[in-house]
Amino acid sequence: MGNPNLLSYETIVRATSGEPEAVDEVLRHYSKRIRIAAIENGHIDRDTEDSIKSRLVAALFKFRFDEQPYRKTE
Amino acid sequence: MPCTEAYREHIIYTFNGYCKTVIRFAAINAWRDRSRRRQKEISLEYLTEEKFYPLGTTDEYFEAPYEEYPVTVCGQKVILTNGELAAALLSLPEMNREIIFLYFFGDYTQQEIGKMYGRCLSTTGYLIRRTLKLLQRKMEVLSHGESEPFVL
Repeated sequence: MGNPNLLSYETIVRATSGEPEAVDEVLRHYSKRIRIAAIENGHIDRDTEDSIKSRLVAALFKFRFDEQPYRKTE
Repeated sequence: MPCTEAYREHIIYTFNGYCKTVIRFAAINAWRDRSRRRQKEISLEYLTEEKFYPLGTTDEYFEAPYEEYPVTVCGQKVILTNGELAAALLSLPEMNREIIFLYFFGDYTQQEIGKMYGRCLSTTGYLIRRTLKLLQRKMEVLSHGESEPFVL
């Protein structure tokens, strides 16, 4: 199924319902991306990294499942 | 919503894109906040060493006593400590100065003042309001150095 490097559906469901381990896994999964986003003048800014992490956690609970899947184009 | 394979795959990709977007905009926001803070912050060393900005003041209340500005109203000598106020008061016409003095410090009612000067109650109230406004204008001119035409 799809891209094996992405988080599994079960993890997403558990993370969005607020389970700490799953949230941690999401953070770990995106840690590299977060660190790259927090780079400033060639080194990682700790405060920025923390603020991005807290924003991501806050946004997790706003993720909505009720969107319709896109129709695959033939 | 049936939990089909296509739906799960869709959720996985949507969630991935969602997280990426959140991270990107969080980084943009953090960068914006930082640059805004940097614009507003000035280092203390810069202020003290380059600009010689005094970090403390010394109290001058006890060293220099208030300067006194005597003003004579209605035959009484009033001592003011505000030079601008005294100058503005002195520049007012005699009658307006007396009305203000009688009303605010002489414990007279507007009716009594009106009788003394041959005006009715409402005219006296109008005079008092007008005089206060004029006084304020004069003090503004004295403290800011701008001259604005104003006629009583």
